[in-house]
Amino acid sequence: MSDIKKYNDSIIEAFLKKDDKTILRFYEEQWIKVRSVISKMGGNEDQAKDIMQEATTALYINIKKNKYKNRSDVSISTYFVQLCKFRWYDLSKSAHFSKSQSINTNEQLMLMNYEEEYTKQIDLIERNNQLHKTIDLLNQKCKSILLDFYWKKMSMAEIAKTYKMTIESAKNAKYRCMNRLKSLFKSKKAIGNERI
Amino acid sequence: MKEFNEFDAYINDELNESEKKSFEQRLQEDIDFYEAFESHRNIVLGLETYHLKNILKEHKLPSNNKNPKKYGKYIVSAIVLAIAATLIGIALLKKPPQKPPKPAKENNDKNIFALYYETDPGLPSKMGFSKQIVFDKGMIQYKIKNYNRALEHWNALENQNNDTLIYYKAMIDINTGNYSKAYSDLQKLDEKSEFYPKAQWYKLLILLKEKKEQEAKALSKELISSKSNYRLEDIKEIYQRLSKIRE
Repeated sequence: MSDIKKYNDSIIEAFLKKDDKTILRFYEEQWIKVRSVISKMGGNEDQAKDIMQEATTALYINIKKNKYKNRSDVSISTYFVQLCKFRWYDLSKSAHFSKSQSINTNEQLMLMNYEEEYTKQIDLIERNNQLHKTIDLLNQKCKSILLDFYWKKMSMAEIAKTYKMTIESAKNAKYRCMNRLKSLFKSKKAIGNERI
Repeated sequence: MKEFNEFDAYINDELNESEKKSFEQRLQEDIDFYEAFESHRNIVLGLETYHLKNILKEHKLPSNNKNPKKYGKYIVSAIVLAIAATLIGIALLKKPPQKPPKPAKENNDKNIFALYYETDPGLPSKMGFSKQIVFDKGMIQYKIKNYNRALEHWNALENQNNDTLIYYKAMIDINTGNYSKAYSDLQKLDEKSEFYPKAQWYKLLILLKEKKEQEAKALSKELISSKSNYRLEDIKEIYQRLSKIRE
């Protein structure tokens, strides 16, 4: 197995196991490169950070949905920087970034060559951002219960203990919070047809 | 609620083999069930990435920002550092001497090449122009990193001294680890070539890759004082890093 593939595998595993420490190390390792790429295209540090965060969540979804193809000749870091570039190109077209240095003709043409991939990734990031805004509308307790269950992988017994409830009440609370989130999101979008 | 728990059990890989099989079969046969599951899975992914994004937001990344408005922040940091240094000094007076820390050279800047290197994405392909079609076919292969196929097309071209061709063949050499060959080919490009600034940048990275730090420092100094602005900020940063290594 090539070193690149081994490295890619280790990062994929970290995302699948929700290994915060390794994910953060990977994130930090990409920073100088991404900052340099965004800076070359007229962006500042804060914009580079936002883009890195969105690209990391896009990478996570691609891994979870088996859409990321692990290639022995392309490092996952290269793929990540590409995601950041896609996002930058998209933002640089929007009104908010109109005063920033726009992309040149060569870059526009390069982008056309990757149009399908580019469009898919941007759709994914946008839809995910919409969902995050909806999660913000939940009360703190609901958010905490759902995050404890889905990210921290706490059992219902642990959640019940944390929130001083019976296991049955904890299960009901989780169910109610999830339904609340679904209906809030549904009121904005028809989630049955959504493909994040 | 039963369906809901079943979705979570499948996502968390908690179903046994037969349960998993019947769940997957239902996904294939029942469109309503499939859509309900997809909706649930997307919401779960949204929750997971919401938390992931928060972790990333809280994680401090090193800043390169030289904005004078933020000097206040540095002053606070300096005060904190001064207090910490005093406390460490007091602690050291009380404790026997520890092993000396490794010199900065050992800890940092060991692989500057990896920090800055990114492959040239290639040129847009204008398919259909017969004059360029062979070069463009090679460029398409280059972009998908099929370098052997790219070279097959490019080596078939008559004029091997074309600057675009020299430059992109050198890019392939870098990507396949033939750094010395890439360097000598990049040296063939003169200042008249539009690829000259980029060639200089990649020459600098090759010197870094080959640990020729003094040569890299001399070249970065030369590039800083040249008229070219290509990767100027990065070159300045590299020059500073190399100066620190020397110290």
